[in-house]
Amino acid sequence: MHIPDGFLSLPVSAASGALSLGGLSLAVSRVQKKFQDRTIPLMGVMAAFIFAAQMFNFPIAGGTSGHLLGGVLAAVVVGPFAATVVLTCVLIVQCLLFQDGGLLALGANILNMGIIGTWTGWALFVVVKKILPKSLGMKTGVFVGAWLSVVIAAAAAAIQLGLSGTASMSVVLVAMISVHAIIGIAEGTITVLIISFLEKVKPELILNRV
Amino acid sequence: MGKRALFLSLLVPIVIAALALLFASQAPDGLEKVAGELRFLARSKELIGAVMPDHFFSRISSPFWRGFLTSTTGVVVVFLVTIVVVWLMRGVGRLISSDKR
Repeated sequence: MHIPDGFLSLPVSAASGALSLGGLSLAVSRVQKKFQDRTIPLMGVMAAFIFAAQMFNFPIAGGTSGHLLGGVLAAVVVGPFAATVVLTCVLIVQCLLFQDGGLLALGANILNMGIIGTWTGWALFVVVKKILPKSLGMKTGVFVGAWLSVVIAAAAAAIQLGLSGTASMSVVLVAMISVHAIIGIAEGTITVLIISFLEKVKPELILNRV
Repeated sequence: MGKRALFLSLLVPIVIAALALLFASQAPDGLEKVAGELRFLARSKELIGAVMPDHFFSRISSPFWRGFLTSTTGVVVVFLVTIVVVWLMRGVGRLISSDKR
């Protein structure tokens, strides 16, 4: 879902960049307030894992592929604000070294995946975890949160494309949400499997365990 | 997290990156698919060149090993960049809190 250069207009790129800077500042200040030394290597490993996982495109229906976004995975393990910092580092390296995502679209990509997707997915995870009992709440929350993170990030990208005049807003919104609703199922499943595995072998790594 | 655990934890993304080289789907991702169907894929531009694949391991002839070295370097770079960023964040945070006192 990395938007390349050329898809977004300059005003939309600039506005997305400004919004992502604001979100990132908030995330950095919150991480600084609740900082734990043990999370430094964990955030590094999480970033490396998400970077590698995003290389692994899995096939979905209709000749399309998807890859892990990793926002909710990181949010559950290191917290939502630290997850934004992790995703931002991943997106910057992908953009500058691997040309995965455009330079002018970097702000939009951080906003969509690192902020909007991660925080809304995290919020749904927290709500579901509170409503449902322990283990079921954790797994269901992780699944629906991860699914929503992909769909909402895709919707945000579609709105940016619509506002840029790249495609008709309603058409691109429906198309992006339809495709990413399926990719989100894989995101949810993979995230639940990884969190369940971590809960079994290294539960102390998960900041938000049951 | 001890040094051994850290080393083992970093092996996981390196293995995933290697598996991705062998088994990842070559089909377009969600955005590429939509861009192709709605006919705006051709708008995609390259403002900067990809640093890693073109310059660093071009002498290695095997596509798998070239890709493996590229992706492993990427994993290590992402890890180091994140550690440095978070370490700097911690330093700045401590400076701010000591100034307030």
